[in-house]
Amino acid sequence: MRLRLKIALWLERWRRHNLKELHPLRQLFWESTLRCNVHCLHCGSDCIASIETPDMPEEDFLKVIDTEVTPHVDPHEVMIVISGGEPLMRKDLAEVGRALKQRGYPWGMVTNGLALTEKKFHELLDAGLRSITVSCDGLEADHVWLRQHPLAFEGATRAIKLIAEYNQSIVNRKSSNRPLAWDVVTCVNQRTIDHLPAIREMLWDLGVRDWRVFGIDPMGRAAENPELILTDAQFKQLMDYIVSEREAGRHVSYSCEGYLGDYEGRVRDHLYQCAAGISVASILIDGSISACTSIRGKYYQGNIYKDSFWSVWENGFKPYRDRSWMRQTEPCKDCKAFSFCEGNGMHLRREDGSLMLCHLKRLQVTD
Amino acid sequence: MKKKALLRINVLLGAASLALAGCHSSKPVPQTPKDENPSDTTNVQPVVKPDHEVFVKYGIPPTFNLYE
Repeated sequence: MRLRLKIALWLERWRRHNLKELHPLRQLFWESTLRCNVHCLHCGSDCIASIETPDMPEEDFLKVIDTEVTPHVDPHEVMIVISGGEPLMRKDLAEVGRALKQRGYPWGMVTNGLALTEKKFHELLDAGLRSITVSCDGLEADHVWLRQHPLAFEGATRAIKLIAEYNQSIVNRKSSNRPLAWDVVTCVNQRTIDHLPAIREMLWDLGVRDWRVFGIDPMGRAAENPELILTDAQFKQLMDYIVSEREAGRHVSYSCEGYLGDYEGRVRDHLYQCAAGISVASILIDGSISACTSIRGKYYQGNIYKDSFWSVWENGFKPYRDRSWMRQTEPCKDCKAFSFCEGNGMHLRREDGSLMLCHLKRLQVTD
Repeated sequence: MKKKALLRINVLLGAASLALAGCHSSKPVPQTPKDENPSDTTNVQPVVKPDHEVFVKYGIPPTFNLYE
């Protein structure tokens, strides 16, 4: 490993240590619905929670915001991420957004784009939408296959065009409005790994300039479909592809998950850290208090219907803020990179504490 | 006081580690104005650097400052 990178990782470790002590809440997910209008093969849902689970009422979430969060934070500094399911399935999404805007919170969402009509888009902008990510997993056939909906590609590309044109119109008019922060995310799988240059070209033609790519983890529905999961060699191919795009000046990034050893600093704008429970919290559909929404139930820290959210945020989340317990498990036990990696992402920990996937090991296998 | 000091140290540590690792973003860094009227968030850009936080399939939009 390069000496400069090693020093950088030690400094980052120090910074992370401070951040754990501070644990400033910066991102709050709200799993507002489990309903969805597509049926993705790689859905992160473990399917234990039925899609018939009712949406959390708007007032329950806002009550937590008003009584538990707002008294302790500067709302301008806490990003609310409305998550799902597909957030656009909620009829009151704009209403919730407007309520958050009135309270000073920026909010954003990730969508498959299928239900994002022009009218809905502008309604959400008026309601304070500040940030949006559209999922597009490949060229048409592959995207439709993964999303299991014949109109999925049409929906995603329409949404991308809408956003790109909106931002361009702001630039053209030299408007005082700020452009929307946005990007496209792509789940790379065995079908699409060799099509990345073509997908990139298609996205750039649509106006995308920020593209995040990632592999699919063996969880939820994806665990039953090995075709979705990249081989170790393909994973390295993905890393090399991202490096080449970035060297060509295009903003392509790997997702936040996974410590990447020598690829740190080369495929993302930041060094690896799992911010779950350190600056990221979530309120799940049943009121559970967690960090990222895909983290296993064992790591839930409380429930808004019986606990004080803020008290949980301040005094709970111990397994997140002290991850030394992960060192007791394989393959972390004797790993020299543990100081930098700290056991990989929390969402990759099974109920029994074992690690589902080590990104570093995947890269080492292929060296 | 201690909190402020830690925040300041972290800003420096973040900048130094990014520079040493050669991390860079081609994206512009938006401003974070605080409005006079806190209920008017029209021009509020969610904190600092887009694309810093990226929890994908389960959904983080590109707006998060990992390096405060």
